[in-house]
Amino acid sequence: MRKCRLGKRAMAALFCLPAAALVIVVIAIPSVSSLAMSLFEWDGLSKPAFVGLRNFSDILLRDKEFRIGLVNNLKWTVIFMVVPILLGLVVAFALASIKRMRLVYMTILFIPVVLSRVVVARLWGWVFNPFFGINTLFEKLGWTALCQSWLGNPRIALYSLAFVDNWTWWGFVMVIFLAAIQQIDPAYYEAAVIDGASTAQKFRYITIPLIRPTLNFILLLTAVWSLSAFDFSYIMTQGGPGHATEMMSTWIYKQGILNFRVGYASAMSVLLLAFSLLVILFFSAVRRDA
Amino acid sequence: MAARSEHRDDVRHQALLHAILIVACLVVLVPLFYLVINSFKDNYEVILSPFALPSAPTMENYRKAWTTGGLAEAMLNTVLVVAVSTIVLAVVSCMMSYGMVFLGVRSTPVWSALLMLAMQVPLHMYIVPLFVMWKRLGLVNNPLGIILLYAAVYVPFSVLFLNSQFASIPKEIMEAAEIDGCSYMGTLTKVIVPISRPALVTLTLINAKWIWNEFTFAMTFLQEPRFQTVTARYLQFSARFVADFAVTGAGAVISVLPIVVLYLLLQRRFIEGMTAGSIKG
Repeated sequence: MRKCRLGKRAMAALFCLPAAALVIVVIAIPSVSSLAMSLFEWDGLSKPAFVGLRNFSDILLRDKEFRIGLVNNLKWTVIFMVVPILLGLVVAFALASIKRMRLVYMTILFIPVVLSRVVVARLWGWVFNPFFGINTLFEKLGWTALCQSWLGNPRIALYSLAFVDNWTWWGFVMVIFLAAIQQIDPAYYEAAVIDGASTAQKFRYITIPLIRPTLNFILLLTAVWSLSAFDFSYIMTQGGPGHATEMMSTWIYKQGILNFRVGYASAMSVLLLAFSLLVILFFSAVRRDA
Repeated sequence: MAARSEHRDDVRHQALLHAILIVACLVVLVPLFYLVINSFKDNYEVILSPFALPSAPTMENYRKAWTTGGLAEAMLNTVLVVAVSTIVLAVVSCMMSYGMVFLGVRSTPVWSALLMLAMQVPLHMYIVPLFVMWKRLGLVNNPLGIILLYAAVYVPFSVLFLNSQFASIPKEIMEAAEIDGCSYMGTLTKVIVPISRPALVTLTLINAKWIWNEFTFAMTFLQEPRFQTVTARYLQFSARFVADFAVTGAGAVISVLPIVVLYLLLQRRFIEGMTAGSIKG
């Protein structure tokens, strides 16, 4: 009997092996080697030179672009903790409350989530284009105050990118909230109606508290993903104009892949991971309090 | 009387909700409509009247994007990469999930936690050393390299997704198969896989969508045009012809069309698959 069990355990490990091996080779080993490489100066070809913590001190004390990236990531986090979540909540609540056409609306609202982000980036690049984009429409309508250089103005560009990312992202959030709302027992709402609660009150005092776990989960996911935001900044503005839309991840990519500063980029990615872990710790601390 | 006014309130209420939803849908559809109409114009007309319907719709842009833009070749590459990667993913994740759920590896929660961690590690944490390693192994600009990479990157989600599906299969099935003398592999392929076919289809759809649209790995690991997948090729081609909205617009439509069609046919599966596991907190 005992021998048979051991056999089963061994078989189990064997069945896990191919998948585990893939993850170890592609994700685990390079991640760990990032940790090690962060202490070296290396161009990916010649012999790595040990520099101790110099990469970290350079990044934290001298690297202006990394600091811009960090600040942009933090702005991004604040925007994404608020805008798509509010939109998603309101629309999910509306979807859950209507009696017909739910699937039609949901199908349309989820389209941006399935589109390729490269295509979405190009699409909004055209919308922001001065020759045939939204500005030409504003001009025709006489709303010249709205004619902005959406991607060219360093003070606006980051928010234009955040708008585009929101456009692709909030449908996902919305559908998750919808699924959570649909799991709420309708008896709560019926009781509230008998007590004379308004729609806003139902939303505030029944929906929100009952989907709190989902809300917390989405907030955590948002925070972690916002710290490694990359796609639209890299495709639409390459971090520019100047470095106005630089992100930590775009800077890592530029330094590591394009400039062959493997050690330096690794050190930055270690910092990125450290920030992400801090966020996760913060969230679990808050959750334990609540 | 009271019931009547309540009914009227309800109608007004529903109308308001529909109005909110229609506005939200327009925010999604209007930009897409703008893309599609301009992809049927010539470039001159795009600049002249970007918001009007095409006066003489032309397929010329689509022809150019398909041939000059190289999307035809890229589409073939993508189909190959997506097909092989999703099959590899289905096979290895099924095996691992089966090992975890039915055979009971030692300390399953630790394995789950590690998979969760692997799923959340930002790709910028490992892309640089991985690139160096893949280059040494000759796996850059090599379809095999990107297939291995995709198979690995989407394994954690796939296994966790299948774990939740497999957990709902009664364990007695496994025991019955064992008594009938089925080997472990036999139980997996003859019992578990057939029962889980819907979940496997959903999983494959989601993985196909991710791999089809993925671009950071694709542009890094497939720099030579002849190996590029659609997103990587489109990224290059659209950057080169960025002022030619008509042709790059047509290219955009071509490169998302297969996934959008699949999505419109099977939206429920897409939505269920992509949001799976998020509700538990």
